[in-house]
Amino acid sequence: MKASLSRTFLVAFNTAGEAARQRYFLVLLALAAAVAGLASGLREMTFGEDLKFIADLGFGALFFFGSLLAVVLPVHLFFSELDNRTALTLLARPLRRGEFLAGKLLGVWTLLAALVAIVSAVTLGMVAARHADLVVAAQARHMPAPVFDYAGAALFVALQTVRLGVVAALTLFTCSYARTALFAYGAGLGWLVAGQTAWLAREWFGRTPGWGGKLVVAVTRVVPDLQAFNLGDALMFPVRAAPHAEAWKALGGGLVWIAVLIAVGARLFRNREI
Amino acid sequence: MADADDDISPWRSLPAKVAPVALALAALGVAGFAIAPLTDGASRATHPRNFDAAKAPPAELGAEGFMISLGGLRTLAADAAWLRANVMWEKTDRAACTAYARLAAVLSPENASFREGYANWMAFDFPHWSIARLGGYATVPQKVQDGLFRAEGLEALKYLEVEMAREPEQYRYPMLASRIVLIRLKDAERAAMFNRRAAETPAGPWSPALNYANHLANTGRLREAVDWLGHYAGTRPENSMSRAVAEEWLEPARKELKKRTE
Repeated sequence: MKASLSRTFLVAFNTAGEAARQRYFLVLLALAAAVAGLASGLREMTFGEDLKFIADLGFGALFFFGSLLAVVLPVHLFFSELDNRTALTLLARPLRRGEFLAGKLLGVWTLLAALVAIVSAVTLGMVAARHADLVVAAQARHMPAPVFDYAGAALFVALQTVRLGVVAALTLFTCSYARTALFAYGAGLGWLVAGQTAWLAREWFGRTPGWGGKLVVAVTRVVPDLQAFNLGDALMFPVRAAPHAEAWKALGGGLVWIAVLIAVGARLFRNREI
Repeated sequence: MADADDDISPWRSLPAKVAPVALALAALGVAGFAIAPLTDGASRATHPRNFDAAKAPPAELGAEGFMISLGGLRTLAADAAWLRANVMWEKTDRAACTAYARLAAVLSPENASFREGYANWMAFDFPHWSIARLGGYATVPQKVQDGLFRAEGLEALKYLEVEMAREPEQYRYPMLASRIVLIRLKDAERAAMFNRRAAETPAGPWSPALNYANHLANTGRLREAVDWLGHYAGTRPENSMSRAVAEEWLEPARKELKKRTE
């Protein structure tokens, strides 16, 4: 067990190092941080919802660029190992294919977590600065101060980290059976869209009478419900009680999904010719 | 005739290729059902208040569903739509202005500014545009002008009634409704009731409370005004502006009442 973990971490360490050297990762990271940083300057565009605008722009950039990287990074790093034949050398050693896949995920996820941390820090820094100004202004006008839940924001950041982990695990699951990188990119993006809209398909087809609707509802369970991680508004700007319990459950659900996707992907990868 | 072993058709190997993937997907489906209790609650918590996906009409489910899936990005889209609505307002293009304003409102259900702004346009700007289109104030008879003001006021009020039902704790809608009813429909009593409704919301400011009390006092119901404002002041936090202003109003009113009873 200890040896297996050490091999997995070794793959993860190398994957993270290789991922960090990719120019597109650095460019997208800089872009996401820049968009989040611009929020304060662009807030003149908004209409009385300063804090929400800053949070939305920063976390929107994280949602977009993070999702893109969670699909592109695993496919690129996985297929570069296959194309350069380094996977053959690695797997000829006492390294199980499951360990290889788990190591790849951990390496990519580490980089995605760094992206989440940097963009969230920039966004929350902007929010905190503006919030302080608004509280002072509200006190001067004897008006209620705007509400921003920092504990909820921290929980939302954790949810985004797990969400990107789920997307990366889904993409690696695709890589485990895909023959070409192009297919894996396409299927990875397809999984992403399916995960984001699965809840809608369930609501829509759940109303259809007969077996057809029930079948579609069952099929939607194949993909993780990524909408469950979209709790930003409810956690950061709570109108009533913030859904903390639901957020914790979604965090747990996301971690279970990651484990399942890697386990099933490892099984598929074991029977695959390299 | 070719031997079965010589058959290199890709179709022959298809089941062997597809079966493991199908099995893997089935395993994911089973896992999905097991994990659903953990994630379904959070997924539902992302829906806007008062939106019930199970009961929403198909068109609403489609539109709202798409917006919900966009997450925080929809607020940015809403801001862009509202900017566009303002450009159309400058051009006095009512159809485009309405379309963009309603789009902004749908995209950002939690932002009262869009709905408030649109209702304001309906009640106070659109009738002037209609009069201008019909030839101007000098040409259009006063009766027609009054009819237009009233009709647009009613339309704005209808729009706000829906929003007040959707967000009963938002004080800005009843405050605007009060202004519209007073200015466009000339109904002071109904306007006062909207002021009371605004004042009684949890974050309601003091101005509608004083407006309501003043209306009661001016229509010969000083006792009712004192009772209501006294109760209102008691529901506001200690040292709050609302409480201080209410107490300031109540002091001479109570003296006046006492004088009358003596």
